[in-house]
Amino acid sequence: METERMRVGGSFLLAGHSHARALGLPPEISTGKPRVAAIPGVDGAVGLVGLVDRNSEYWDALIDNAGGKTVLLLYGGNQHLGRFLLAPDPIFDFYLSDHPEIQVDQSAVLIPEAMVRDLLNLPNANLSNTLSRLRKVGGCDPVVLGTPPPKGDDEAVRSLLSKETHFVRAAEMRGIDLREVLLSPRMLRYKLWLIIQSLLGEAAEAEGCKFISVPAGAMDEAGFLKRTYWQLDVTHANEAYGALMWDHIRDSLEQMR
Amino acid sequence: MKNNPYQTYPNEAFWSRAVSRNYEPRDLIRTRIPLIRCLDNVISAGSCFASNLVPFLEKSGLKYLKTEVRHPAFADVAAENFGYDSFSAAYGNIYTVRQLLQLLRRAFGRFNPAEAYWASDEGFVDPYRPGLKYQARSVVEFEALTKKHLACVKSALLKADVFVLTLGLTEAWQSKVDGAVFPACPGTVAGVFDPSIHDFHNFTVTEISSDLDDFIEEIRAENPSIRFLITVSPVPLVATAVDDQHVLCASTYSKSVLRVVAQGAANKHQNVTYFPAYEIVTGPQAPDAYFEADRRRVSEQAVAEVMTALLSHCEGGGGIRNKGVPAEESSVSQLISEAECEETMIDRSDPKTS
Repeated sequence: METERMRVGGSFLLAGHSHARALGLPPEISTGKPRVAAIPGVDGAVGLVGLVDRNSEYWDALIDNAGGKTVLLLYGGNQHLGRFLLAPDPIFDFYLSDHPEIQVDQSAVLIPEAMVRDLLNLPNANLSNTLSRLRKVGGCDPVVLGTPPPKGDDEAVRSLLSKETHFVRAAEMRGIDLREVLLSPRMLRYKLWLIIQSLLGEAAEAEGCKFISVPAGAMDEAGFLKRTYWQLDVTHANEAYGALMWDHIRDSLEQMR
Repeated sequence: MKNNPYQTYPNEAFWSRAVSRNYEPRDLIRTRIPLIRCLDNVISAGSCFASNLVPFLEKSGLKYLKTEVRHPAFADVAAENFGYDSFSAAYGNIYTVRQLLQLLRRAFGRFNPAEAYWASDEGFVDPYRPGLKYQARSVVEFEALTKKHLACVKSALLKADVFVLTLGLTEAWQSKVDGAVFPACPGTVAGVFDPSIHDFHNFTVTEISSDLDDFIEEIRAENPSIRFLITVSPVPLVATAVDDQHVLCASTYSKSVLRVVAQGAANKHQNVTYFPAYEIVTGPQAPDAYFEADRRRVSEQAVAEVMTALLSHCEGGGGIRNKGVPAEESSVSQLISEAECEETMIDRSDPKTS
């Protein structure tokens, strides 16, 4: 695998939010300015490291370093879990126009898909602007990457919840015990993730950029992230997933040429 | 002076004693029992003016019933257009009594309009709620969302103790196929106007009275104890579709018809009360400031006056003691009267109103 990854070649700049970690982006810094760092094990690839809060300084630095690069952007991708991993009250569901085969829970509160899309798109407010700016950088080829599918094993997810500050705080605010907390239906999480992938793809297309979705090999038969690709937290994928993605990126870009 | 019947009439019967002097809006209605009690479930419907009343009812301590509310998890996304979220269920503005009757019959499964939806690039538009921001993206979703909405309408109608109904317009656009009326002319807010299947109709006193009688009787067949407060919107027409009519004359005709219908219903039916919001805002005693500079939009001051008068006849006085409007309500009022009205879309080509 390492040898194959070395063959990725090209001139990649990996950037974006936390899901870029699985592809080798070094950890966030706590202070200082964004900086470019090597991606271990991936020849010709560097990543843009920055504060956890990807502020305007981070995106400006991305533009400054994007010249002549294929920019691989992992943008957001956790909003469905951040908002809805803990079961909303009342449980809601929605029709998914791109996947009419997926059933809707008739006992749940029905929400317009358009409203779900608007909510999940809120964190993407700066994505279009960033892609537009990247398109104007000489020699830059911006590519938006799909984000990891949700994890489908509720009991395992529940056991990981207590390790996540976000969910610990959310549970405290709602006065609930994480060990007994009701998780949202896993199919709801899956549908929300599908919408996020659509939104990322649409944002890329609208700006004339490429979008590379998550490879089918990352998912089990039901569409959830295979256990072998789990990072030991609620939301993220691991290095093996990152390796799979690098191979997929290489293959996809070759096909797109 | 000879004895005559007028000698026995109260001061309110005389212009000189009740309008020229000693005018008090609350005196325009005489009732010994509260129009709305504290525990009553209040619902409302009507034209843009009706949605102006909702924030006051909600803030007054009365129970404004909402059966179709946004899921709390979606509070961060933009509010619905045209005040759809403002009413007891998300039916938006209901301009004509025929539209109201149609809604009742749809909610109880007695009418299914032939034009169920309009397909557009953005999704599937509800012709009866054409300004909805969050449109369905598939036919199956459209049908499910419509079914859910109508269930919420039905629930509101069944649970209501008091229905505050504001009559807005006599003019409407309708389907030639089955007579379904649209809240806005097809092609203004959404859809496409097709003269082969859409036409204009200006409802008469007889037609509207009949529709209102039917509405009251049909709702009381399901909810016998429901009481009505009927008002006529003082907001003039945005535009008229009547040939060779000046909009001012058309507006006067429309409001006159509605005023006659409202009084007729109050005279005919038990527990139907006419509340004179129209007179408070448009009467000769009303100050110039009750209308904005365009002489169409009703000012916040006027809405506050109407609601103060109404709430003074409600149990507990309704909780609004001062005629000043809180800032939050002011903005709501202005938003609704200025922008959140499908009717204004008729005139959106005019930069003064768009």
